[in-house]
Amino acid sequence: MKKILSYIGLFIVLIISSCGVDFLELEPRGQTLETNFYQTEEDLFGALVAAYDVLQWGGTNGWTMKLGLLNAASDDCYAGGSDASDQPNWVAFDNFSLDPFLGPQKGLWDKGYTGIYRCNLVLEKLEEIEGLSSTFKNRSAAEAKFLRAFYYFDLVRFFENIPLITNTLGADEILTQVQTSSSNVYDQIEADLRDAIATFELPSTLPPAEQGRITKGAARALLGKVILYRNDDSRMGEAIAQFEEVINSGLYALEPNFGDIFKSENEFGQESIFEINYSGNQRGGWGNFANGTEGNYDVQFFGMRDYVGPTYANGWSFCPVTEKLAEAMQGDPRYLFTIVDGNLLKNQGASYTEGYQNTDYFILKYAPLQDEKATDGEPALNWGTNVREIRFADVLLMTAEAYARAGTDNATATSYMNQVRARVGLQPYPPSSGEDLLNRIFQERQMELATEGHRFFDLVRSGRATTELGDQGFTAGKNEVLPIPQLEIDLTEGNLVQNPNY
Amino acid sequence: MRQHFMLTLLLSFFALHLSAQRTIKGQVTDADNSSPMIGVTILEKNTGNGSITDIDGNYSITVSDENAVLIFSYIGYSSQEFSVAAQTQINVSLSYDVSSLDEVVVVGYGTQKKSVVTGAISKITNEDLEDMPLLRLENTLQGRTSGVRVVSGSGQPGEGATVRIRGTGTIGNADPLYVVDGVPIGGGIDYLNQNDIESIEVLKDAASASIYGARAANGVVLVTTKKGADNGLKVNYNSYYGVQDPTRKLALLNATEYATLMNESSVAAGGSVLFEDPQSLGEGTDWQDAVFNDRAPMQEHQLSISAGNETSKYYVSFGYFDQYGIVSEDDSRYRRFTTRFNSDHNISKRIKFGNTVAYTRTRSNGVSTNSEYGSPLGRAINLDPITPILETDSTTLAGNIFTNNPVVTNADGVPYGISPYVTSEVLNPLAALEVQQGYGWSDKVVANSFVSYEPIEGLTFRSSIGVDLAFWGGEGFTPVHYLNAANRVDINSYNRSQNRGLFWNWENTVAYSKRINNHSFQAVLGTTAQKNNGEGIGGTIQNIPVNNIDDASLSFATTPESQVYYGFEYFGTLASYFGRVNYNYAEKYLMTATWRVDGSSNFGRNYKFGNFPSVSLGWVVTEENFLSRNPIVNFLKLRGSYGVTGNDQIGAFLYASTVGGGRNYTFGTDDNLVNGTSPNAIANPDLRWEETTQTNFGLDAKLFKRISLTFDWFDKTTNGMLLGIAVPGYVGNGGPIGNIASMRNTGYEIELGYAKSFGNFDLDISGNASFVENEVIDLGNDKDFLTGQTFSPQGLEITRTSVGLPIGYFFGYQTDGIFQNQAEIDAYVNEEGELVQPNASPGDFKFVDSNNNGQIDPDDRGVIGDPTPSWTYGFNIKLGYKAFDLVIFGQGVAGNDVFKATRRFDLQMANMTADALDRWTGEGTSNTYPRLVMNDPNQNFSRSSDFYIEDGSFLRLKNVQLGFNMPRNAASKIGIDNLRIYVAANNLLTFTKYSGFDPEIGGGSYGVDRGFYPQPRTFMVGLNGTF
Repeated sequence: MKKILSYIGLFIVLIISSCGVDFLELEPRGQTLETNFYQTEEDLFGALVAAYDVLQWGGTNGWTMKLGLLNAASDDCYAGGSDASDQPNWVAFDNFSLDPFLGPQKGLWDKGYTGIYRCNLVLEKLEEIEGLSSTFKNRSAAEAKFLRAFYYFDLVRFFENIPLITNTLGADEILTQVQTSSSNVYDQIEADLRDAIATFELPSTLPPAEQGRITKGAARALLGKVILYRNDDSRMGEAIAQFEEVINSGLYALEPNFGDIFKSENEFGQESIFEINYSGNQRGGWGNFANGTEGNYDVQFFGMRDYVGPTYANGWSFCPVTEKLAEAMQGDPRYLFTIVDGNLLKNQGASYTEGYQNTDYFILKYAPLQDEKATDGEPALNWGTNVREIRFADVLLMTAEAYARAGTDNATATSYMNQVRARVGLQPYPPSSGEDLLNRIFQERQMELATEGHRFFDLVRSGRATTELGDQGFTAGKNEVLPIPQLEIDLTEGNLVQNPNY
Repeated sequence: MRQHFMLTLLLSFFALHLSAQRTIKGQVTDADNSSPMIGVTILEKNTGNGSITDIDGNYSITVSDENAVLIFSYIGYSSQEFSVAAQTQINVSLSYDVSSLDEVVVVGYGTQKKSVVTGAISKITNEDLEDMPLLRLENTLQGRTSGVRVVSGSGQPGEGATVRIRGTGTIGNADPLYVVDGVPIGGGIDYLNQNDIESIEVLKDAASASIYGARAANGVVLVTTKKGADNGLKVNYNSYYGVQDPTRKLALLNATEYATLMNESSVAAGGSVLFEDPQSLGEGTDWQDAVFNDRAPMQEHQLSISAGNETSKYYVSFGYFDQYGIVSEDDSRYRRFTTRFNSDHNISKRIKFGNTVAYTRTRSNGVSTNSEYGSPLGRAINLDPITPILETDSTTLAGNIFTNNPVVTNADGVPYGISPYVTSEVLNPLAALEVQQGYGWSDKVVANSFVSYEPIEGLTFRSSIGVDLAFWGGEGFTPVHYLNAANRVDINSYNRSQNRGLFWNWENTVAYSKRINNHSFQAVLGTTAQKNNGEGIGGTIQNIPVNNIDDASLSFATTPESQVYYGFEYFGTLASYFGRVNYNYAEKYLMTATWRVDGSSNFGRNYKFGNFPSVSLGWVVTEENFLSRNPIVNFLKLRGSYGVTGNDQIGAFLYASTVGGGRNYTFGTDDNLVNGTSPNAIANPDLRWEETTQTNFGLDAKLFKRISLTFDWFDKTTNGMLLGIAVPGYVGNGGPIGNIASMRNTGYEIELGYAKSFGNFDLDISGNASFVENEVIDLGNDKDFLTGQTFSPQGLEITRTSVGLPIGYFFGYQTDGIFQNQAEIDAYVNEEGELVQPNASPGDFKFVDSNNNGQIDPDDRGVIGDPTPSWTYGFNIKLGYKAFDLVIFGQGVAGNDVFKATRRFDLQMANMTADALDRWTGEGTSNTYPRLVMNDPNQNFSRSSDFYIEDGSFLRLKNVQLGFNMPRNAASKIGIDNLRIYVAANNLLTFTKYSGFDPEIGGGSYGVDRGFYPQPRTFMVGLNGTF
């Protein structure tokens, strides 16, 4: 028996030693794996570009362009479209008939978290990969942190109660995430932006070929804005500090003519602090509609349906400007550069089909222009108009707001606001303070920034939403945020909790 | 080696034919009833000398001297040995022996006596297969064992079949594992020549199969090829020739009927009369006649030599098979050449060496077999009968179509007809075949060598290396042609591909067996390592200066834009450790336990190795005193097993996250596009095998000495079937493939056998039947169903897989007769009093509002049928009378449906089957076939509904043979041991209610008839001689 056992023992030792686990570890050919793809600066730059890519997404889970949706939700515009059933998710955001299934929440949610995932991946890979130059590594990290902050800022404003995820999730973390307080999310946003600002390698100015990438100015402006949104008047000094850095940097200025801001030749112009870049010549088609094209879908949405006439190309008649905004802007020199007056065009012989909620007023700042219509690919998906996410006039008005809310220097507040007014030849406001001053600032924001997607959040954060949006169906304590997508709650088996009153 | 072999052959030859000194005669009778026994083998011990008893039980054998010992043996009876000494007459009576019936059964990594097997294993021996014209292993399994369902892919020569052991075990790859002489064969099991097969064992339950671990979840088919004879030399020649015909043609509308019905249909839709004078069109073209190839020949020849002595044994064979298809004269054909060399050697008393080597070459060309988009039969069914096969009308030929386009002509230069009525893919089938040029080929070598060493009695070390080296490829040419407006090619193209795959496995085992008094103990312990890799390249060249495939070549000079190439590679590894322990007490109490650990390159990092244990117990009740020597129950064994198996066919690297591009952004004032990359989906390091647990209870019995019975009940559940995982959006990337779905199969199986001789009359009947029920249990947390097959360019959904229902059931609307008049339409209202079918007219289908929401909408669709049979069965009857024998082998299924999607409803002018003649034409004319109206406003035809469902049950006489065995005396005079001549018919009769070509529809379009290439009926003559 002993002999048998020794035979068997010898045999087993021979066999096991001959066949290691390495035998089972194979690498595929013809495709690249996440685990070994990102090795060089070039590879990592590709990952960073993918994080930028999400900025321009408009086709996540249907049509979910942030700008247009926020216009529809505000009192700047209605939802529009061909009829009520054209884009029910837009209509639901416009009249606040949102529910966990109805609304743009799934697309906005997925878009934001995809951006965050890609930023997290970049940040992890930058730490993992050795031999990267510090210039590349630090600048890329700063850009990724800015983008992560930007995506979280959108998510926290849209949803308030969200999971805070700062690493790519492992298999065992996929279903276990829970929501955290918005304060935690804001802290993370601020920390990321402060890191970016503190990064020496993050440039303040960009060569023409790099326009669209993150600058220190963009990071400071966003940080100031984030602080404003935290609604803590005691922190206004921090916001002012960031804004003043931007204003005093000498890198930005107001366009002399208000009407030039949105001209294509002024993309990345002197007033531009952070722009989302779109391109009209990448031949996008319906096959890559979902987040694959480089075009700005909002532009197609805002145009007049079946339009025949001068200047403009036809569009899909979304976001018709409300009579309320049109009336509010009567007499304001900016009206002419903000609102397309359809009746005027008709009188000149143009024609278009009246869409849903037609007011004969259309958005001008992002209107589709015949001269800029893409010649290649599907024109509807290839508008190259950049979105001016943060422009200098906005920063001046936010600075004014910060001073007004701090209550320490109302004169400076008024003077910044008056800079914006002066550009369009409006009389300067006399000195004021407190609510009067703030009301003026918010009114100025409404005029200056109309249909640029700021209004809805301005109303919500300043407590003006119920008053201004109540007739649209806005319910306080509910419609400040979107419902959490029901699928998220289902898939996590209730780990995520629905927002109040949805 | 070869010299040694030839020498053995020669020696054996002399041993047979040298005259000897003594002739022994006698008669062999059954000890039970003294009746003479035919076919008893008489062997002179330790020589190649042998004989066999004739129909009167008499024999005669010439032996070398008086020291000779004769062995008398017969299956099922105890063998007896007699020393010849001075005797010249030896009469023997053999007695029936239950235990001798214990054939040996091949199990994973060993063999076992059948009486002590505790798992559910079905066995097919070479005797069951003799003279059966079976081309492929799959066909061999069909109807011959319980628990195995085999559905032919089509009747095309060389076509494979779908094999499912104990139901469809997974929504993924549910094919069983094939192991031939210890080498797992991944693809191309058709390389096996069935004449070379000694036995096939089907391991059905987990206890038998789990020794194959992560590859065993769908059952294991073990194939053992023939070994050399123990003694002497035997030459066998085996051949048949047959002609094949289609068994059935569909009744289609002739030209007059077609024109009449199209007129009616057009007018009903408010259109004009399309054909002014239908009668003038006569019968028109019979496209089925044009496409079917009657009297298609098939033939097979096989020569094998089996030889051996005490130290070495050889088996060599050579086979040739050639089959033409019954569809299309030249484009459907399969040829196969096989050769095999198997040898076993006792190098010393303790060391053995052996190998098996097989080489197979195939060449095949084929047509599309089951498609609404361009199979020859699909076209024949749908093309209008007015269009002629060849266009001879001078007016038409002078028209724009024929003068301005490269129309296709026959060999004599006459253009083929082009239909002005039916368009899209429904082309003139003969013209389409003319421009389809190409074939596929394969060369394959499967070899296995082993050495074993037995240092002490009962302990054996064995090491073997197996290789499966396959080359395959094909070429095709598409000339410039015009078939109709939608199908024209203006630039010719030629493609060729060449692929190579190498699989090897290295297997090492140590086995030990010991018996101490009544305790019998066997153990085997082993490891295997295997690697599978391959690569292929192919290319297409366009615009070459030739017009047929024979002249085409990739070497023509063309522009780089006219050349496309592609390539691929694949690889995978498996490393395993396994062990088995068998124990029995006096062959009465039986126990087997196995354990296997499999590691696969397909598995994710966290589950690199899987464990697959099993245990089984048996109790031979007839060994107990209270049942022994019982005249009714000769043998009874109860057994039960439980075990875990896996399915590693989950795809390579699915656990990993691959990186994709196209996540681009534009930077700069000039919109410079920059490429972005990100992972395509998140990784799943937990990805692993699909896991199947199975419980089995069964019994084996022998009753009244003549009746054998096996019964099994099983319940198997597959968990962790692969599907895409839906992950929350906050993950930020798509979900990976994960182990999330589950399915269950339960059923029972019975095998029965009866054999008895009545004087000159022998009867041997065996049969089997299996019942399986399938249910999908879970498809993950975000899905209720998976879409299956669709039909037509509209993508009409016709099968689904849903939770709580069997896999791939037929999905559609239920109809409730036909509205005979407006009053019936008006009476079909919902709760609000609104019409449920406002668009209906008399003669339209009444669809059932299954969800009671007051309207007919997609949510009313549900189960309308099931392509999977509940019952599969087979039977084999052998009758022998003196020199004649009759074999009837039948096979069938019951409880399944066929979706008859033979008509392209989207092409309004497509031809119809003749049942359209009995359509609804007025009140009371039909309650099953609706009115004909071109735009079909009620969607009578363009909805998937039970209108298309037919009962698919069938019983088929797969093989009927009448054989004549040349009397031994006559045969031996011409130097022949054995000669059988037979006539046979394959698929002689099929009993079915199904109205299409063939109810047995396998392959990718399982259970859906899209103009299916049916199995042929074959009449053949054959002979089988041994020298």
